[in-house]
Amino acid sequence: MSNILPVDGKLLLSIVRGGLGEDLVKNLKENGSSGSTIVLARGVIENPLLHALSLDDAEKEIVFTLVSDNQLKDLLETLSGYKAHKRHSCGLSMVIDIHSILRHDTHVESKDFKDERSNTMDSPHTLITCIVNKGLADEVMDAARKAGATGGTIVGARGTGKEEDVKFFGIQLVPEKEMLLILVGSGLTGIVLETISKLPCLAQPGSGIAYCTDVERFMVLGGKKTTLKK
Amino acid sequence: MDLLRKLRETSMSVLPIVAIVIILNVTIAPIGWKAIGNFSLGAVAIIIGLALFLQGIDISIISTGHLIGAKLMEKRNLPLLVGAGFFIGMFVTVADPQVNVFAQQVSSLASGIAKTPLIWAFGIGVGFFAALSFARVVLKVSFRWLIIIFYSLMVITSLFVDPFFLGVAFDAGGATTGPLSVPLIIALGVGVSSVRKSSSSEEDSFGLVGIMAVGPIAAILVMGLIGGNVDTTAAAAVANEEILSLGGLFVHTIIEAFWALLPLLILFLIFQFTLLFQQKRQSIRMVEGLIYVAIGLILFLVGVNGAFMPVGSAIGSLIGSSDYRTLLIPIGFFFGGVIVLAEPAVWVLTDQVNEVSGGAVKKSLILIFFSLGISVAVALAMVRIIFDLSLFQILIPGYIIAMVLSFFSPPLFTAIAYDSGTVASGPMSTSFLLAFTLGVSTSGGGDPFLDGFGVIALIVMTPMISLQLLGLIYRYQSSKKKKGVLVK
Repeated sequence: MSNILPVDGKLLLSIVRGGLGEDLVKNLKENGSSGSTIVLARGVIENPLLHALSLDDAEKEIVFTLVSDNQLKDLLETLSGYKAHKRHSCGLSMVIDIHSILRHDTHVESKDFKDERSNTMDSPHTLITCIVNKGLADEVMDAARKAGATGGTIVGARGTGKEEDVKFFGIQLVPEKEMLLILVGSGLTGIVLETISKLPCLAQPGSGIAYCTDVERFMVLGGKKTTLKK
Repeated sequence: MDLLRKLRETSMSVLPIVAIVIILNVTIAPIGWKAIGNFSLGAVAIIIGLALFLQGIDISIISTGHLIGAKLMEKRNLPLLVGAGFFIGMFVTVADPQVNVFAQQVSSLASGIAKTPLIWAFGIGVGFFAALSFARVVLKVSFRWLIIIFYSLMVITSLFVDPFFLGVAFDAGGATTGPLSVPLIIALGVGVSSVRKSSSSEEDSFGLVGIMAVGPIAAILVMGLIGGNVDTTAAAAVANEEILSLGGLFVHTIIEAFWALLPLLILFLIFQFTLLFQQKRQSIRMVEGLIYVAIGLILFLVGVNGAFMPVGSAIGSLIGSSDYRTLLIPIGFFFGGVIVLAEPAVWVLTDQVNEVSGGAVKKSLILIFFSLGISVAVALAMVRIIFDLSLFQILIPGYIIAMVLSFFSPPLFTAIAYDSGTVASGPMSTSFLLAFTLGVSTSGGGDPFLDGFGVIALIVMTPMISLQLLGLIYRYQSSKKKKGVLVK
């Protein structure tokens, strides 16, 4: 995880019916994506009767896929034609701008973080998302905190990377991942990313990726007013 | 909608049982089409009941249990955590109707053991081990060593105890953890671990049920050591419970479900006003969930006790007295593997494992190994009855293998494995599989008491091994994967 891709990318965020995550990822992979991360979630059905009966739960899966700009067109076409088991409604999908993708499998010389970000400093905050192997999120958070981040949120997830596909009696064993969300002031993004990229536990290929999303506004809900360090 | 998905899942697990029984009906165990009709009706009740029950558990017991566990941990107060663990463990045990019936049976068999002190002994035993396992998580004591210490003590003690007490002890482990308390305890464990910042929080989520089951077993074994006179002729009678009429069964089941739910409701109310302070929507979900649990449990138990139990018994005695006795081994293998999939707590446990691992440990994989474990257990029970083998020659090596495996299997799987034994011996296996075994035993002139508890004891033991084997496969596969990446 030693390289920062200077190119920006897109995050393809899909929310699908429970159990369809792997199927969607398979489709995306066949069309060029390198792998995704899946998070379990709970949806709420829009039906007053079921709501009154507390039966409005629906299992969902959120699929995070990083794509480069030139892959995007193909993948969007795949998604628009996507149907699972002949059903029409499987979920929804959205495209989000991201930058400063940190991953291992690309061979780009490391650049100066601050310079790179200075031209797009139009948003005051950045959401850094790190997807790492199970058990490493706390390690990453500690490093980020040393670099000035205040706190983070860890979500349990599972990965689907290409080289990690392991079949056992026809059932896929998937690697466990943790997704760490850290909100920082934009001025800190570079130094936090740099600190994370130097962690020895992330030196192995396939141990994790990170990317940034610009955050236009953020607010603290309840409690006393706090601001992030700029 | 989740309820529809659950209905599909429960149908997939119950319909194969119906298919097997129909195939047996036209081949070697003709129980008659009228019985098949009854059985099918019972199967429908079980499918609907189980789906409703699991849905209700999801939105009430599981979510509230998670919250209680997490809030207790957030208080950062070890005496409170340990005290609450003790209280919850004791309360759900003492108030459990199943425990009451069980204690009644034991005291009627062994003179010198009174019912009320026995119930409290169970309660204190379960409470003690619940407190111990909460303390373990905070004090970072390895689950493996705790299990090895207590299970070794159990195995050693069992060598000096009258077989009757041993039988009762292993039954006690199952009887004191009912279909409602097991989900609650699993949820508590997951909740306590969910707020911990540690790489071991996942494996610490499980194992609570496995440790708590030691409580009642220890209570009985200690009583057995101290001594008490046993009337073994009455022991056999206990195993054969009377079968009620359908109307009587319904009333009986409704009362049973009510008494099983009441302590949980009281417990939730106490925590609601001292610790949780859940918001309106959450409270509504909890109450409605408990209503689904009640309806589901009633349908499920009526189906199990009214339809599955008599059929299990009939098939067992028909084949047991026929010329095809050796066929009991493969039939037991099939029954075991299929029946366990209709066990409510099995679904709860696999759901929770899936959730805690973020979906990485697939439900289907765990269910397959659960099935395999119980298949082997019932097949072994049949082998034992046919060839008249000693139960302890199978059980004790089994437990030793389970303990040795804990050194090689990833800790998450070890924790799940020790839970799985208690989880698998729920209402479905203790009725259908027990009735089947008793049918075989009585028709072949065996000792129904020993054979009966033998099958339960085996059901508790084998998944401990099979799920740890699954863990070994995970470890082997992931180490192979790492090597591959390094070479690359």
